Amino acid sequence: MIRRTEFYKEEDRITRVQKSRIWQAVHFQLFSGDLKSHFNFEWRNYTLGMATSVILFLAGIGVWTLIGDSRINAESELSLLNSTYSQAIYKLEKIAARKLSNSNVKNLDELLQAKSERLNSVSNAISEIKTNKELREFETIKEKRLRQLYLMKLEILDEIIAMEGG
Amino acid sequence: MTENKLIEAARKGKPRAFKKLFDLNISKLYSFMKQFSSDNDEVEEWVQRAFIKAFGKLHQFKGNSKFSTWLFKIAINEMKTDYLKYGKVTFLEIDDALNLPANNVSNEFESQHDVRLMLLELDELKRAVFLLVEVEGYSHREASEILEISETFSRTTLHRTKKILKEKIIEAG
Repeated sequence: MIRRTEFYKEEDRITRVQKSRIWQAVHFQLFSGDLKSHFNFEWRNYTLGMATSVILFLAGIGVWTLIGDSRINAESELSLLNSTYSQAIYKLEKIAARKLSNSNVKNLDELLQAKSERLNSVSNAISEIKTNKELREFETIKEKRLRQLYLMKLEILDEIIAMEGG
Repeated sequence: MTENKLIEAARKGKPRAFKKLFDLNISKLYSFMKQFSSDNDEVEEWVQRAFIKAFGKLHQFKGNSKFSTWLFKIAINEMKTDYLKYGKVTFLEIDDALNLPANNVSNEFESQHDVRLMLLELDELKRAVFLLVEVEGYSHREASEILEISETFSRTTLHRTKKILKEKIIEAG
């Protein structure tokens, strides 16, 4: 191997002036120029990234809470409606049953029987819709149908009570 | 402070570590690169760009090799870029037709100052391999890494270079 100190001539060696000039340029690029902005950019990205993550996290919690609240509100409103219908039906059923047991109108038997069967069908339909898990994704349709059936049941009961009253 | 610790400190953005790495490598790199151009400004440009890139991409330096190996590689690539830019492609014209054994050539170049001038007549690849292995003391593995060639090719290139230089010395009497 050749000794580098012997191989290179004076003209191949860097001078102090050159060394200083190159370092100035490197230093400038490193701490004042492109590289500094590069480092800053990295930090800025990091900070912005962290801030965005926090905001997204908080926004996520907000949305989740909002959805939860609306769901609870919707559920409570719905259950109130169902409960009202159920109570009304229950009371009307009691009246209808009492009136029917005291009835002396024999010629209305067939008609009452038909209405009673219809009432049972509607009651069965209501139970079926309430317990059907497959309809969970169609809550709106399900609720609409339930309301129709409740009304139908109320009408039948009303008709039965009216018949007896007549 | 060891090279690894200096690099670690530089990665954390400590100016003194950068300066120390610069001081440790600048003379070697400049002298080496000076063998590829008589234009001082051009050499300064390569060296400067090499340091800026090396420091700027310090996070990419894996530490599997010496920092100087990585720095030399960047500097060589800067030179290649300029060669391509200005249409000078001799460095890339790699002649691998010769597959001579790497041993068997005696080292007759010690203390031969005119070898430096003879070397300037050869293409850049031969010059680079010779300088890296025979003058700078890099192994063929390190030289192959710097020049992005195979280790075997580094050996055969050095063998051929020595053979040519020997012939030139004989011719010169």
